[in-house]
Amino acid sequence: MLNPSLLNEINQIPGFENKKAFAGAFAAKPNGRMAARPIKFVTPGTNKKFSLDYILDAVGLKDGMTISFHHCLRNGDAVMLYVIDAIAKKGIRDLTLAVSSLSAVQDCLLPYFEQGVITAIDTSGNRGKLGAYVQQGKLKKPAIYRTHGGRARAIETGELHINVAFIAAPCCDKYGNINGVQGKSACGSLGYAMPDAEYADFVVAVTDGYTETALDYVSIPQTQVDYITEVDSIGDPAGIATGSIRVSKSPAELVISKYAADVIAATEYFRDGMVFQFGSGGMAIATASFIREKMLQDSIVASAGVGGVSGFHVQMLNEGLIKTFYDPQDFDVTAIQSLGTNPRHHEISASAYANPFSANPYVNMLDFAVLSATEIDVDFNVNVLTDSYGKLLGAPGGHPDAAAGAKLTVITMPLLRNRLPMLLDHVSTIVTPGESIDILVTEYGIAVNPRRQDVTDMLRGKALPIKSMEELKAKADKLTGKATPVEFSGKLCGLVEYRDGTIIDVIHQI
Amino acid sequence: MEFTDKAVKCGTDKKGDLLVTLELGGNGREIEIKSKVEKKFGEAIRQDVLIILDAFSVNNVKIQIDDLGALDFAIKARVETAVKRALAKEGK
Repeated sequence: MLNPSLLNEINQIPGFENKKAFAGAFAAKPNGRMAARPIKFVTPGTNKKFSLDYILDAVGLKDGMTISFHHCLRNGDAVMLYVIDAIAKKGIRDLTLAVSSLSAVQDCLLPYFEQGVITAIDTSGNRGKLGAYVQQGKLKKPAIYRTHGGRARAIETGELHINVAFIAAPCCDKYGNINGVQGKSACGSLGYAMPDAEYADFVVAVTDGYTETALDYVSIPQTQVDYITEVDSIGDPAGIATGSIRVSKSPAELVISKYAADVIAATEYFRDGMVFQFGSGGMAIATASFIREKMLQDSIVASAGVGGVSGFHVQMLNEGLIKTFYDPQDFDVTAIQSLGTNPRHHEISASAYANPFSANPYVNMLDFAVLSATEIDVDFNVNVLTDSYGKLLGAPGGHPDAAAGAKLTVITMPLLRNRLPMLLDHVSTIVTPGESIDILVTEYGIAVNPRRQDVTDMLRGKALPIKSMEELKAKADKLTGKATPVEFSGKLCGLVEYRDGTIIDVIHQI
Repeated sequence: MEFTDKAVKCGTDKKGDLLVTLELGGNGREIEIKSKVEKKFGEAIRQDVLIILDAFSVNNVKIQIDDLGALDFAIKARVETAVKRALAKEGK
């Protein structure tokens, strides 16, 4: 799929000499051993708590190193700015920023890019001013966009070596134990920080919930934490977690959600003991609510839920409709409280969730996953990273991971957004390969991937509006009229990695 | 685009709709299109406008389209209404 001349161009870039093109969702044949971190030794009673300035000297942070952060504080994060500002004041330059993702709030980091403090990005997504910066070609080398599982894989295999991990810690005791469920800035699961804590050379907890008392709930253990620094606030609670869940009210989205639930219920994957993942977007929650009604009707219980958690997932957990939950990320206050109090609600790392190079990531348990998409093409390839003009706006996140793991992957999306058709001959950027996508559900009908004849058979005679991809495409084209093709001809400025580390697509300058 | 008080308006500034501002007169057809989807559909919008102008044989006109992603039938209908209002205003 990836143009060979593009791959050749990528292989000329220092650090990317060994990058290969995507060759299939399960084509990788990994071997070798996992990366190792330095041996540590601490005598009893050793103090870990210092000023950030002292710690930056103690860890020996130097030009050209890689620093990491997690995005569990989402759009409320204040830690990246705090730490990077301190680093900048020390005159350190040319760092790689390795983050599990970047939100709009990180627009505030732009000056540190312009000053040369940060010259490379390794992330799941970036948008706003940082996205524009990348697409103006101002980084030293192309940014890397990874999936959540792919990032964990890169860290654990040593491909992404982190010198210092700065971990925003809503609660941290004097020994260095951390959790995300207590404290004024509670964010819930710290799943996306766990690989960093396990594999970075140095781990620094940045906390506004310091306590002398040993924690009774530990997400990241003291054995992995070298230093602690205390701040007034690690973030804005309003940006960290939303207050209440957003169930879609749009009629078109409700039609799509209803179709999605009907389709799932018509397959053999809807059964007692099933395992599923719903995203936390409005349509995914609406689909979950229709599925919930069907579960109550048929007296069906799910053995497990996997993936990001919102209040609606918690409701199903509390009702006993989901027996247990494996949770790498929480989106609202209800979910955060549940993680802290419900013993059937388990915190898992990004690696456990989705790393393809492990003995079995949790996504492999999925019977079905309901995911959204920005665009899809006639070969079922999905884009969740760029808009219709190739501009960065989303993130791969766990999309390719869940899609690869699930026995049935259902995409719910409107056929048009405004006048723009979302079903195309070619998506702007391939993030999840079509081979991982089984069903597309739109307000104008449902298309089954021709690779899944078995699913087509399951849906036969179920009074569902089944269409071919070509029919849906013709409908979209008829509604929108003829579009002028948009060329992506700008220079290479980003690599889109599949979860196994191969390159599935690239980002162009605009 | 500058208009006098002879101009007529049609449509709304709501998502999926468009606002048409149209004034008869001048020399030839002056068409200005502002749209979020201009890169992909700017040309398609222009064609729709021309179809309506041709149908009413309007050759001297200033027309501004502020489009918010409207589909083609909405664009044609709004332009047609604007043309009719302008003609009515002139007593034609």
